[in-house]
Amino acid sequence: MNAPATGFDTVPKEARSFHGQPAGLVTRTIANVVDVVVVAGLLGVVYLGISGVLFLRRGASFSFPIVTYRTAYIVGFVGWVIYMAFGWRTNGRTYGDHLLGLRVRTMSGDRVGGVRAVIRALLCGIAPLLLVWCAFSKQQRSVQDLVVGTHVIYDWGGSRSEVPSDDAVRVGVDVAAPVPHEPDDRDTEPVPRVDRER
Amino acid sequence: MREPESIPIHDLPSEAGRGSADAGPTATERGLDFLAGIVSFGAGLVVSTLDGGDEEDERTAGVAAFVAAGAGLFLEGLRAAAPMLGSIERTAGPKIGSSGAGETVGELLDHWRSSWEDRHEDDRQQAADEQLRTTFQRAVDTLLGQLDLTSLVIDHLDIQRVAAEVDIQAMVADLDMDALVGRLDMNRLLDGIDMDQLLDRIDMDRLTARIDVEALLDKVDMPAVASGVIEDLDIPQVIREATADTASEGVRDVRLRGVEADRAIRRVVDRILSRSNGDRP
Repeated sequence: MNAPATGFDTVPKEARSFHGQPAGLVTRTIANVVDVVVVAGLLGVVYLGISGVLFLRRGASFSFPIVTYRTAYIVGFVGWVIYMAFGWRTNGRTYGDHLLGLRVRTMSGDRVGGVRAVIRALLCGIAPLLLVWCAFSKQQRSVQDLVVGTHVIYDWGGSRSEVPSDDAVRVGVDVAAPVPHEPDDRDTEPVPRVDRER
Repeated sequence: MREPESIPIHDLPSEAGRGSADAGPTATERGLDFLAGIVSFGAGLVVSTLDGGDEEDERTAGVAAFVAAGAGLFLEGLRAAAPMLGSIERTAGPKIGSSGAGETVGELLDHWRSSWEDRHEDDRQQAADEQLRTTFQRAVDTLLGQLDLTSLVIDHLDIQRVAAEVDIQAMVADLDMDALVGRLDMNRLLDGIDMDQLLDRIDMDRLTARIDVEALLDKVDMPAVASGVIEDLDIPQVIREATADTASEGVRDVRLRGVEADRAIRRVVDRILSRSNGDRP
């Protein structure tokens, strides 16, 4: 999905059954939590960096700068928007999305543009709870998705092959066909387990 | 056309002695016979010409009948006049015969009449030959029409012996194979071939055993083929894709659990909203 087809199906085996399908509430929430932690960590690093500069300048009179809630909220909000928009614009996903195997795409499957990424990040920062709507949406799209015309899909990396693999030919699967957003077998097909012995 | 025979003029005086005292035909009678032969032949010629024409109308038939009747009357007149003229000749014969002129004229007329008769005989022979040929041809046609030559050949011809005598190589060498192949409709030919049945009859093991794979591979520029394949498949891109997003075992486990949880939530919501997969709002 994120790379031109190479002739091989490089999607991990355990993710092939749901690759490209819209992601649900749990994974997206976990991804956002991870992103919050990452942004907080980044802001903490920035705070420590600023403190280190102040220490070098003030010497014995150094004390950690006091950050008000308001400042923290504003800085945190800006940092969040920059971080999320940058991730979606460049790679289609933030670190939290990467960890959970998600990717943000437009409804036509294209990469998200800069304006859409910023608006989406702003909406996510202002009203993150609107994400819950994806659990009730037919296409599992949150309010942010509906506003900017995006959706979040499972994407563990790799790409579908244009040439059907032997497995696909054997079971009669058209791997080049676009993946439906609402597959009928989604609720009945068991999620493949990771082979822990490997 | 017969060569004209020489007239035996020198022998005539020696035969003059035979005289006209014999009871045989006189010169006048022979001359009349000869004249009658000419008239008869001419009349027959005219009648046959008129009868043999393509126009078979009544006028032509009438003319032919008239000519035939006239010729017949003339001949009868000649025959009636012949005895009378013969008697006159016998009366004046000795005087004329003493001069030898009567014998000479008689011989000449005999010679002419025999020539005419020979010629007439040749024409009749040719007509008979022609009729015989036509009859024979009809007989053969009728015979062949009655015979089933195909079954006759199949029953009585030893094809194997005939084929053994045929020089196939020479025949093939004479064939213009390019023109022959050019006239073939290969697509129709191939449509008529049951490829499955054909392949079933091929012993693939024996076929592959006869292939010298080593020699085949020696002729193949493997590095060029390999580089072409790598270029087409973009192997580096494949490796990048397969490794860039590679997640650890723990991450994969978290992802799979997340997907399971998504589906569980989905099922619960569907159950609460009493909807199936197909009628979500």
